[in-house]
Amino acid sequence: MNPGNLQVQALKEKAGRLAGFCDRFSTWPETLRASLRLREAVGGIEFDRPEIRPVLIVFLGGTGVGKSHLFNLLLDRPNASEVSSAVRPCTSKPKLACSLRDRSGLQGFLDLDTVDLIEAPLEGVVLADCPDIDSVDQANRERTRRLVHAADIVVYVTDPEKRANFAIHQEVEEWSSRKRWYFVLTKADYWPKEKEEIRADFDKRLIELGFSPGPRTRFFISCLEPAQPEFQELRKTLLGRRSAELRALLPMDQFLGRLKHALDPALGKGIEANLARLREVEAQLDARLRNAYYQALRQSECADALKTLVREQVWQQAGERVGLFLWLPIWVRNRFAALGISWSLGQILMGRASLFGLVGLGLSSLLAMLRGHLPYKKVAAALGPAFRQEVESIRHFVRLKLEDLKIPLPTEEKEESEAHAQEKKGWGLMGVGAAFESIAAQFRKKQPEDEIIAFLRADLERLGERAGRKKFGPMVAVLGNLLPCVAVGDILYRAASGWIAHEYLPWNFYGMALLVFLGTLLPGFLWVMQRVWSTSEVPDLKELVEQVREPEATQGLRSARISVEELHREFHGLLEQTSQTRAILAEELDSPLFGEVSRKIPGSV
Amino acid sequence: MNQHLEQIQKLSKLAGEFLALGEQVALAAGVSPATLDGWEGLRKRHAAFLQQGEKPVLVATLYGPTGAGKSTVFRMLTGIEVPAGGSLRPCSMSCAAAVPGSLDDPVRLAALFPDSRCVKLVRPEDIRNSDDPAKLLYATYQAAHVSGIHLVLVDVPDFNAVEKSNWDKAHHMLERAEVVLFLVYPNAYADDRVVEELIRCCRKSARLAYLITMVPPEAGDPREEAGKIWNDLLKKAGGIQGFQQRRSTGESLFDFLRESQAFFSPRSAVPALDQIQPIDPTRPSLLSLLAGLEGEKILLSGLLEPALGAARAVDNFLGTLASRLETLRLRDEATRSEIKQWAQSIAHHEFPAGRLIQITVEEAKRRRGTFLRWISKPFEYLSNGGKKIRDLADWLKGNRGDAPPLKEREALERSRLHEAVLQLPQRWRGAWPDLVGEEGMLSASRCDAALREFEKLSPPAPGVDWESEARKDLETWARENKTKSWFLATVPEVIISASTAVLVVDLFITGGAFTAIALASGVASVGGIGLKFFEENNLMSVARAAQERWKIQRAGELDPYLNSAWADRLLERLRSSRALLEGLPREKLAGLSRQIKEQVKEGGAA
Ligand SMILES: Nc1nc2c(ncn2[C@@H]2O[C@H](COP(=O)(O)OP(=O)(O)OP(=O)(O)O)[C@@H](O)[C@H]2O)c(=O)[nH]1
Ligand SMILES: Nc1nc2c(ncn2[C@@H]2O[C@H](COP(=O)(O)OP(=O)(O)OP(=O)(O)O)[C@@H](O)[C@H]2O)c(=O)[nH]1
Ligand SMILES: [Mg+2]
Ligand SMILES: [Mg+2]
Repeated sequence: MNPGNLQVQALKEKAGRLAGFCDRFSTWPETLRASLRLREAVGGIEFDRPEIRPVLIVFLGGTGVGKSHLFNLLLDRPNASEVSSAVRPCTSKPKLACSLRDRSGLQGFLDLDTVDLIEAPLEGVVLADCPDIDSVDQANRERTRRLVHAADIVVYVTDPEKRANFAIHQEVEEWSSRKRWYFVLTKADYWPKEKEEIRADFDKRLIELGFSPGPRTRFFISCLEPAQPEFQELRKTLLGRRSAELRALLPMDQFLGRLKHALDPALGKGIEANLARLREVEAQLDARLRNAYYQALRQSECADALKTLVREQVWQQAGERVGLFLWLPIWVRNRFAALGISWSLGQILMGRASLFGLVGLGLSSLLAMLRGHLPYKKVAAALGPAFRQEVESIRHFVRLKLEDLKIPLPTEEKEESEAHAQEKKGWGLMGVGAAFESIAAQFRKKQPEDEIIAFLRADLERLGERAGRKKFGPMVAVLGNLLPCVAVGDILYRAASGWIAHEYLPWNFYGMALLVFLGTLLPGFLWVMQRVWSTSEVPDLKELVEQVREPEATQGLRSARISVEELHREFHGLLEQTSQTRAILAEELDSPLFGEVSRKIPGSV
Repeated sequence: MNQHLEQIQKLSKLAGEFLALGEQVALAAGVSPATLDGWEGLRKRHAAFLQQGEKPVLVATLYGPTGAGKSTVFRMLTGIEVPAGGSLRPCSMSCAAAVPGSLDDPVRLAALFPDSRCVKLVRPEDIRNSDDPAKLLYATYQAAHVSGIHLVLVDVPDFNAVEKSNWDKAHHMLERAEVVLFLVYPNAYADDRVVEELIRCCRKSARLAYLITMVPPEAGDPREEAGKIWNDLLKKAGGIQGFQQRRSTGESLFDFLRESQAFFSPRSAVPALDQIQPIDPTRPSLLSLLAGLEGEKILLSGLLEPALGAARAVDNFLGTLASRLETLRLRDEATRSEIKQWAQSIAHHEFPAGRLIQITVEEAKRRRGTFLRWISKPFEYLSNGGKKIRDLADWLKGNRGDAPPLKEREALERSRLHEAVLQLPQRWRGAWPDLVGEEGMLSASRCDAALREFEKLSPPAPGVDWESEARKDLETWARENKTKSWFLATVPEVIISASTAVLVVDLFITGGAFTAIALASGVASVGGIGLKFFEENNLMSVARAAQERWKIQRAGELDPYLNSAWADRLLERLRSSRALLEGLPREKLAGLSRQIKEQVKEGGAA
């Protein structure tokens, strides 16, 4: 069992999850690429028997820089790989030198049919001479890439002439974050005078590529002078014995390298840019919607409805606060009012389908009453056509914006837009059944203004309570109930004294008493009524609309924003964990025998 | 000789016109003419030709990958000590020109190198400096053996190193130079980038020489090695698509390359001019090649190649322009016709039947005699009563005149217009995905902005033409149906009272939407009563005709309204670029391009 396995398992899971997230945004080229790369990283590495897996070291470089010559020298076999001084490119099929024992370890991750195998007395190392990457022969490039993909360590071989070639640099950069590296400059013999200047110039280029070259990883050699110390150092470094434990860490290192490659910062930037756009548009549209609410509530019809509602609240308060006998007429009045409201509400709600108006009337009152915020519907209904158009425009904007940003519409949103389209067909064309269906749907469906109703309701209750407290102090309770109290006292007194004296009063006394009692309620009731009608509190509309934080109309944007946020979080989480694990691993592998890693963040200039 | 000059003059005249018109068209279409292949070459060489003096001036440039030895060879040929060497790659960062002493005149040079800023070379290190890409450092040299022409030799930066800014400098000089000396070191001849640039040279230059520098002597006879390389290059070139392109003379680039002379120089610690030798020992040396350049012939050929390239590029460009225009046209037509359809559909579904009844009744009343008027008094009374009830209903509903509610037809029309401006862009976005996206013409923000602007306006009030036509129809009808019209004249009040009753009920129950539905669904009646009214009086044909007229008239009003108040803003880019492209002199340019090609053919034969 590999010690890092648990860690790897966790990373694999995370990467798989991130790939899933990326798939949701497969319309963005960056995420699509990341998803592919992540899957490749997760699926592509054999961790099974790392102890028998040899280290694969490949040569990467332009044509004619001396890769094959160097390969032959390292193996001490002049004809292992063909060398040419004139015709280019020369090598076209990769040559792999390895011992018989290591060959079996190779099978797991390399297609051995595409390479020439050369037996060599190497231990735990497979050395590969690859074709070039810069000639007109494109197939060579592909063959080399396949091998580099599988490699643990890449030796970038170049000569002083080609050391600054753009195409070669590009190829190195493409792999830089995924591999461990050595750098070899050949043909030192041509430049005896300029040798150190060239070395410094080469180092400068390597630094540009994100490496930190030093004598342990960068060599300037001549294949004509293999006895030189620098060449010997190179030989020792490449072919030296690597401990099996450290070798076993290489698959993990590769896995991490591939993860890092998948987590291209350009992608991170793309996600951030989209997130910023989404947030901006969301805030802008939310504000627009709140303004629409505000404008609609301010218009006279709504203002009237609001006033009525406040009064209605005060009426409710009145019943509780005045209490005692006056409670009765107030209660009765409130019941009647509720009925009246449901009636007028029905009209407004069903206004669009008069044929079914009467049926709808009953249905609407019933349903709305069941929902418990009947009176508030009245305000909602009074918001008006301009408001509804604005909400529709905002919804539409959201849909188009998501399309612009190449974010797939959330599924519910899509269904709704279809339902919407159907509704649009108009009543005139529908049969009776369909019309009923449609009325029912209108009630099942959440209305856009439902969201403000909840706040409105809380606001109005608070207002009503405040007004109630102000208008109906103990004074009102006492004075208002005084007359009925006297009457009731008087009636009770008479009745009681009659009973005691066994002089039963005639039945009509009770009738009269009831009438008198009711009559004494009247002044109190009128007074209460006057006090209710004098209430002038209206809700602070600005404050009210500010409470609408997550309007339904912009829901599509919000859920898109949330899932991009999730993607962003997952992306950075995995990136951080990968970098940390890789840093730990880099410490473990910190030996001249394992080359160096690029410190550059890929994609940055 | 004179024959060449004559050809050059003909071509030059055409080219001047062609360049001016082409630039105008390309810029108007939003394309930089410099991106058209051959354009820059033709422009530069044409401008330089106009400045030729008594002796033709030829520009020969060294060209090759970094480290090929361009600067080293330049030093050897001219004696000008430009920086060269192995310690820096790339080494040269600016162009350096060696000019014959008689051209040592900044004004003359500026004319010969139209886009360069010619500066006298004082400190050779300046060539390492890459501040100004247009800078051309020059110094004078003694052009040994060269006679009959002025030969300007240019050393350029590389085209394949990581300092990418160098590439353009080399490219610019290649457009200008008639003669190219292409240098490679053995490792580089098969590089993808190098072969790509070689193709470019074969296409653009009038004359090409190929020099393989630093052939390693230790591997065997350098001439033999160089020969292998040259043959291998020709073999490879034979299989590369790019080399199959044709030059103005009709030969392929491959043939041109094969005919070009190849040289080599062995690698040596002290490079010298005499080490540069032709691979084929029977051919002349590099120096005699340079000395023997035939001025007018090369000048002509130097104009023919880019002229052909530019003419082809312009043809291509005109082709894409035509298809672009076609797309624009199709889209513009499509948007217009869909807008029209919407206008029609809106007009169809909002026929003001109530108004027609009113007219009918008015007409009938007008034709009614005193006696009848007297008889119908009670009904009139009733109908006035009905009106009062309606007012009462309005009052009950809280419409106290402060904000008169829109009439039903108008409200309906507004909501349908709103629907149109929501749905149309969505359809177009589906059909033309390239217009979607934050920068696209149909981006969400642009659609929304157009919508909001539109919403601020009100649709035009319907004209009265259809009404007066309807009145005329009614008159004719009355003349033909005397009795019926007499009868009709007696009943209007009945009708009005009846439909008012319906209205009252409706207003109480639904707020009047019922009537709106009836109007909207095209039933052309008030609660069905009106329909009956028309049917029973044989007036149906009058009503139908009125409705048809209304449809046409209202659609005719809404269509331009939708266009001017909304689509013109949203589709501004589409519509204006269509107009712009249609106005360009494309035919004329195509004609010039044809003439150029003919002239090139004639010149190639010469
Ligand atoms: N002088 C000198 N020549 C060298 C050196 N290294 C390689 N060469 C020569 O450079 C030429 C090209 O070497 P190759 O090994 O064939 O080059 P390669 O990189 O394998 O080239 P391809 O197979 O085409 O990709 C051969 O003639 C080598 O002898 C060196 O250090 N000094
Ligand atoms: N031309 C030539 N150069 C040689 C020869 N042997 C060695 N060299 C060296 O090759 C190098 C060529 O360098 P430059 O002349 O600067 O090359 P360049 O083409 O100007 O390169 P950039 O300016 O970078 O584009 C010099 O260091 C020469 O000394 C030879 O036989 N011929
Ligand atoms: Mg090789
Ligand atoms: Mg140079």
